[in-house]
Formats: sequence, structure tokens, C-alpha cells
Amino acid sequence: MLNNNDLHYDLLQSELSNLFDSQELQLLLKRNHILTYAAGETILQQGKLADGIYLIISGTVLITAKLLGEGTTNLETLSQGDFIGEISFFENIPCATSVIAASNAQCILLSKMYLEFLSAYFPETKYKLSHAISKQVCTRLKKMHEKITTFIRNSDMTSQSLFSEILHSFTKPSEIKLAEAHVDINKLHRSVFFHTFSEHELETLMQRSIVLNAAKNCDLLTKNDKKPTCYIVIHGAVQTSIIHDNKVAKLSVIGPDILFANIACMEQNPSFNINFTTCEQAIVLKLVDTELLNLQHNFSELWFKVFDLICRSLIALEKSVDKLDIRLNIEMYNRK
Amino acid sequence: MCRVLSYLGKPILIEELLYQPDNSFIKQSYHPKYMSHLLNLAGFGLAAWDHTSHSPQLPYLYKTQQLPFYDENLRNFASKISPYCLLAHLRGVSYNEKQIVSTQNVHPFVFAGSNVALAHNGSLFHFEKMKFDLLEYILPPYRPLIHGTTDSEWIYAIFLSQLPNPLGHYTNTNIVKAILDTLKILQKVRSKHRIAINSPVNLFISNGEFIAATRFVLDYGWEPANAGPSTHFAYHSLWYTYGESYGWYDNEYKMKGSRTKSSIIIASEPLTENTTTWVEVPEYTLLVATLAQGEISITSQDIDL
Repeated sequence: MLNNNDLHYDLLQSELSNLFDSQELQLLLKRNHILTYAAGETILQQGKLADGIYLIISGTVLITAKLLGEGTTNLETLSQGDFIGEISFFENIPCATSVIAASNAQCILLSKMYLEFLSAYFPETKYKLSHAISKQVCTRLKKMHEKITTFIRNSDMTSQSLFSEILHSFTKPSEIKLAEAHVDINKLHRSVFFHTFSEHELETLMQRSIVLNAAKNCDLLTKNDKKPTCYIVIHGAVQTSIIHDNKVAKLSVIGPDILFANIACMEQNPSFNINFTTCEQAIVLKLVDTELLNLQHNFSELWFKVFDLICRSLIALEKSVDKLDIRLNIEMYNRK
Repeated sequence: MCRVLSYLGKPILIEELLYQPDNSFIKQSYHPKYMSHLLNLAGFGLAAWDHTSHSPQLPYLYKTQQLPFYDENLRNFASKISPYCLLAHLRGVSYNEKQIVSTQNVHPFVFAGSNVALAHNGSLFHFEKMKFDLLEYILPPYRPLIHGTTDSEWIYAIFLSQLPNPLGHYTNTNIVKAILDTLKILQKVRSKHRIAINSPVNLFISNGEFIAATRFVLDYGWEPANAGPSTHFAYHSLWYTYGESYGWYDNEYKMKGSRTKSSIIIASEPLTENTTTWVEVPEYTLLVATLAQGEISITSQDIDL
């Protein structure tokens, strides 16, 4: 097994040095457990909670799963610089897959305590970490999006009616004043997602947002939205879905006190997109690209917190897309 | 919040569902995994269909307002009876003296002369304001059969009124239409009274031939001003697992994997800590499972009222 100095040297030569500088890599090694696995050893067990995020620093690992209705299936192979266990860790749900060392492998276990430590003392490093995780999540989302759109194309799922199409195209959100939105800042502050924000930071976010009142069936983000955009749901709910060939496969619903973001927050001109449409009347705060840039340049601490939520929204999407993939293979979904 | 469990498939000893798994249904009454701040202590009921019983079209019914984990009679018959279809419910209500805990309020509801059973996980906000306007949507023969005080029994009476007959065979189209019509009626009457507050309507319906379940909330995301935290403002969960048969396989309780899928469990939460062989049903979804020639088929559709 390599000692920390050797590992540090190795990491400096690796792709991880594109993400983190030498000091950050040293911090990563010093503050976390380095776990070593022999080929064939289980790193994460399907059905068990991940106790942190695993960053592969050497070797390759195999992602495998016992899928309902399909038996055990090998899904993909990951290697140095890839993260595993992020859905289980952030969503606090058992791992949907098992991770097995395909060769001798080493991982850094990024524990909850370490991530909180980074947020408190090294928010920029935490931001880089969230950025790297989000990039990987987007790559997986793209792959799954392709798989699902192929399924939809070849399926006899019902198409949206002409009436529904017209309804969506005519339903536009209207801008309202912040006072009309009845935002309960204390409730927002108590929520799981915003409890790390100070009251002042929440007020800053609100002042920089456009407040929208959106009727049901109003498209907030579609494939045509190529600019980075975030929304915070204040009241009501938003449905995520994949639309292809005018057929809609719904993913999950985003309720109050949750931030969501489009893929453009991570990729310029993304080749795929997820649709976000109100499924109830909703009051939302919209952060447009220029405001997100403004936060990034002038309110870095606030931006790091917002970005953390962008990362979590993408992970939540990843989870729902995985679930849809399973359901499409089991259920007769939205058939004639 | 309540808990509901439904099963359709190969005959199974009730005990295997109610008592044996590590997050068994009975355990969910005093130690629920989800929304654990509200225990489900206000009654237990089940309807179970067994081909070998007298009048197999009609279910066994068992209801008690007692705590099910102290119920020796329940334990005893759960270890003797093997139905092919089951619908069980644990009632959970907030802890205050205004709640009426009685056998009449225990789900599932099955009116005399019908074999359709319904259990509900949820609550209609301001139900007392709406209920007399709901009467016009309930067929006259069903009106005197409402004995309890729950919104759920009224929903049952409305649903039954949308079916072509109270006892018989139904097509998927009949079931889906009756459920969607029921939800539309609730929506219409709420609208009349300007009620637009989050109200979960997770319904579980069966007549021994099918299980239909909704994961649905009316006006999701709209809470009353200055409302404290409440279980009824969350989107209640709905899960299913299916396979050849449910039991102890490979050192855990799960559905046995096989090409033939003969059994399905649809429940408000998984029966095991390990949820990986369970599928979480998305919000605004209607699921219908039927058993034909020993094979379960699952159809699902978005609920878009």
C-alpha cells in the first residue's frame, strides 16, 4: 500500500490535479480515510447506506445491480477520478447498486464530517468537489437520457394531445412582486436545503430573483433553454419529465423550499435537457444566468452554497432518471 | 399518516407480510420508517380474498381499534390463513382528543353487497366543509351505509358510485375511469368551497381481482399560512415489488426473481430495510395490477386532472 506522500505524488500526476491544487490534494489525503480493496472485494453493497462519497484514486471498479425483473446486471466500469455513492449519500437512501473492485483499487472516503468541514473552512474546495461530482452526474444523465429517449421513440406510449400542446405553449408565468409571493423566510430557513444559508443570504437571493406566479402546466425550463437557470419553489410544485417525439415520461415532483437547475448550469449548449413544468399553480423564484454569474463573481460564499444545491438537484434528477428506466421495463406506462 | 399494504398473487400466509419482514406491516404501526413522528395507532383492518373460502368473491374482513401488535387473535389467524389477495390498513391520526378512534373508522371499507374494498392514506383538508356537497355524487343506496366519520369512507362511497355495479368484474378502463372521476369530484367540490390546500389522496382499491393504487395530492405544495409541520403536507410514498413469490430467499425477505412474475406487493412503505428490490412510484401516478393466467401485469399512467 502506498503512503500518503506517494499517493500525493501520484495524484499530482493524475487527472485529479486538474480539479484540485497540491494543497487541496494534501488536505484530501490528510483528512480522509484511504481505503484499499483487492480485486473482487465489495466497496459498496446494494441496499446499504453509503457512509460518504467515495473517490476512486487508483484501479477500476465495477458497478453492478440486482434489478427488479432483470436479475444481476453489470452497469458500468469506473476508474480514477470518478465518484461513487453520491445518490445514496445525498438522498440518504440505500445504494441502488453494488460497487465491486475490478482490480486492486484505492478510494478516498469523503465523510459527512469532512464535507461539512470543507463547507465551513474551505468552501472553494467544496465547490470544486461539487463541480466535479455534478460533471460526472451530467455525463451519466446524458447516457440515461439517450437510453430513455430511444425507448420512448420505439414505444407505443401515448402522445401529448394537441390541446395539451396548445395549453402548454400559451401558459406563461407572470411576474409578481416579492411581497405578493408570501415567502415565509423562516420556513425556508428551517428547510433541509436552506438551513446553511443565513437570513441575509436568503434575502440577497430573493432580491436577485424574478418572482413568478405560474399557473398549472406552465413550462419553466424546456430543451430550448440553453442558458444556466435556477428556480426555487416557494409554493406549489414542479414536475420533471423527459419529452421525446411528443411523448412525455414523467420523472418526479419538486415541492416547496427546493432549488432546481437546468443542465446548462453545468454544460454550455447541452445536447440534452430535462423539462420542468408546473404540475400545480406555483410561486417560484427564478435566478437567471446573469444573476448566477453575479453571485459567482461578487458573492462567492453565497454562490458556493447555491452551487451545492445545484449539485444536489442534479443528483436528485439522476435518481429519478434511474427509477424511470427501471419502471419503463416493468410497467405498461402511459399506453393506449 | 396511515400505512397501507396490498398483495395480489400466489396464496401467501398473512404472517409473512404482517409480521416476518424486518420492516413488517405490524412493525410500521409503532416503528414506521417514513414519517416516524406519527405512529399508526388508531386501528388496524384487513380484507383478504381466498379461493378456498365460502363465497370466495367476498373477502374476509377483520377490523379492530386495538393496537395490532398486542392482538393475539390477529397473530393467530395470520398464521393460519393464506389468501391470494389482501388489503390491510393501519390508521394513523394526530394525537388529540378531537380524533374519533372507533372500529367504524377503520379501513378498508367494504359496504354490504359489494366486494370492492378501499383503504386511504391521506387527508382532505377542510373535509367537514365539503362533505355534504359530496352527497350528490353518492348513489342513494350507499348513503345510509356510511357509518364512520372519516373522509376516506366518503371517498369510498363516491368511488363505488362511479362503478357500473358494486359487485362484479371490472375492466381496467372501468377502474381507471372510476378513480379519475372520484378525484375530479373531490377537486370540483374543493373548488366550490375554495379549498386549495395540500391534501394527499393515496387510494388502495381491490376486489380480489386487481389492485389499484394512486400516489396523488390535491394542490400539492400549498400549505395554510403559519402552518406548523404536518405529515399531511408531505407527498406520501408508494412502493411496489413483484416477482414469482414473496418470502425468505437468500437470507432476506424479498420477491423471488423468476421469468414468471406471479405476485405483487403494493404498499405505502417497503416491508424491508433493504429497498433495492422495491420500486418507488412517482407522484401523480395511478397504478393498476391484475393477475391473469398466473402472471401479474402492471399498467401505470400519469394523473393529470
